[in-house]
Amino acid sequence: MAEGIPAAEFVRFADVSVVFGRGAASVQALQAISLSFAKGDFVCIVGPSGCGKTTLMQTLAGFLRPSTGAVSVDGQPIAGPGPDRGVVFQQPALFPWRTVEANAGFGPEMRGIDPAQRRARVETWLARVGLTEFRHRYPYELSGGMQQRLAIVRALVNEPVLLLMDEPFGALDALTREKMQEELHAVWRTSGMTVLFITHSVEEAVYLGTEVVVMSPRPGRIIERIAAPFARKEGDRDIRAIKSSPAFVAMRERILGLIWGMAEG
Amino acid sequence: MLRSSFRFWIGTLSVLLALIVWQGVVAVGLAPGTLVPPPASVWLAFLDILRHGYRDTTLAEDVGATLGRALAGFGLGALLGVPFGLWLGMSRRAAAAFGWIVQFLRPLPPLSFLVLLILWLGLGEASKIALLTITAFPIITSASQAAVRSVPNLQIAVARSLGATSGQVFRHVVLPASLPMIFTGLSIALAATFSTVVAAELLAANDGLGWMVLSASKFLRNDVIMVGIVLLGLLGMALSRLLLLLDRRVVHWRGRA
Ligand SMILES: Nc1ncnc2c1ncn2[C@@H]1O[C@H](COP(=O)(O)OP(=O)(O)OP(=O)(O)O)[C@@H](O)[C@H]1O
Ligand SMILES: [Mg+2]
Repeated sequence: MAEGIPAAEFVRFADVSVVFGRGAASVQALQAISLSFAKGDFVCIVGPSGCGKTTLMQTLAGFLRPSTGAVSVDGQPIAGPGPDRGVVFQQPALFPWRTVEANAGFGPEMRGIDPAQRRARVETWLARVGLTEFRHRYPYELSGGMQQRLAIVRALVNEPVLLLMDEPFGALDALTREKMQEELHAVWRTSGMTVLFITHSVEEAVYLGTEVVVMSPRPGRIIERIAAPFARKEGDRDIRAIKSSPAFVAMRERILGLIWGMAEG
Repeated sequence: MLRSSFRFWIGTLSVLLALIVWQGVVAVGLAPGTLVPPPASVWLAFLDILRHGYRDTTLAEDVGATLGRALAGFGLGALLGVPFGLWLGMSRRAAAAFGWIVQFLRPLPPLSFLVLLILWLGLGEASKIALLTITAFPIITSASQAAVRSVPNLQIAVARSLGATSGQVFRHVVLPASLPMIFTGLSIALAATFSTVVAAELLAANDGLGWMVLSASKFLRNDVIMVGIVLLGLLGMALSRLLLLLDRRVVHWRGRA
């Protein structure tokens, strides 16, 4: 950790506004967003469609420069995309001309990491998500869930400090989705990685997040931040038991109420 | 989905049927055999040319001349057009500078250049190969340019956030992602080159299948004309077939990703 940076400001959005377009046709996608969180946090962002979740993530990924304000990681302002911040989108965006193995190893290969070490990392991660027997196949030979697992592995093999995920499980069936939630949770627990996770599923956010950030549209802003205890809960990690516990249901319903309130208001 | 052997036999059957009808039409006197030479006499003419050649050239020489010109022009067009198109796709400035020239060349009938090219380069091979290069080049250039333009932004974004430099993004993402459209451009250009080579030989050549057809027409050898046409058709089919095989090998993900 850089000197003089408070632990709670490992990631810091300072007064970030984003305006698309000019004049009458301009859209204020984000208005004066200030949000900081600590290393190791798992921050989930929820909110109605068009409230600026993707836009917010893109400023941290370095794909988009804020119109005003600044984004920094560990005190360093974001100057563009970089391998310290892995991204996963709703579409897996794999490279169909590369085998599963070569997709997974893309980052280390580009960065010139020693081939033996690269292969070891790829092998470990593919085994962990059950893709080992498919390593010589091509992405189009995998199911949608397997493709998304590969997209996540491709980001993880690069060992980023921050993992940015934009509705990564949005296209999956309910069962696959819950399995992926468990897998991602386990990865986060063992790695100590910091995650920014966008989702439309409040249940997913409450289950995975150490904090749930609720956003509201036109203009995009944060209306509430809620600390969620379930991700750090020790002991019995049975996903169904957690999700049906009264405390979980209460928090889920409260956040859903906030979002419904926006739709009506 | 039809089984491939089944499709092969359907195809063969329909060709055979067409040949039988053609032979029958001439046999019952619906068309005069000198004007519409029946398949049997075309076959005999083919055997004759195969053995003794046509006028001063052997059949292999004529096929080789046509094939050689087409491939030389197409190859040069691809060698120049692919890198040029990629450059136009990557650089807005280059696209602004050269876009109009390519758009101007693309719809022009290439044969309109032939007279000028003959004046500049003479009656030999150079003018014909230059003509074919001009035919293939704009098609391949604009396909390659469009290919770069259509690379999914998401793939580029992912590559950059995995640590790829701009050079690496080009080599490992833009280039492979462009291959499907580049190959489509190549196959269109190959067909265009092939039809232009025949037309060029009709106008100015001393060998080649196009020349053979034109020369035979002066002697009313319609059977030889037919031999030329059939060979041209088969050759064209074989060339695009080869390119398709290469396409399937290289762009194995076409239509599947
Ligand atoms: N490139 C762009 N140009 C113009 N407007 C944009 C652009 N990207 C986003 N917007 C606008 O900014 C606002 C926020 O978009 P954003 O994609 O961040 O929303 P979101 O919360 O991710 O929505 P969803 O849940 O549907 O993915 C929307 O009103 C959208 O129309
Ligand atoms: Mg979005």
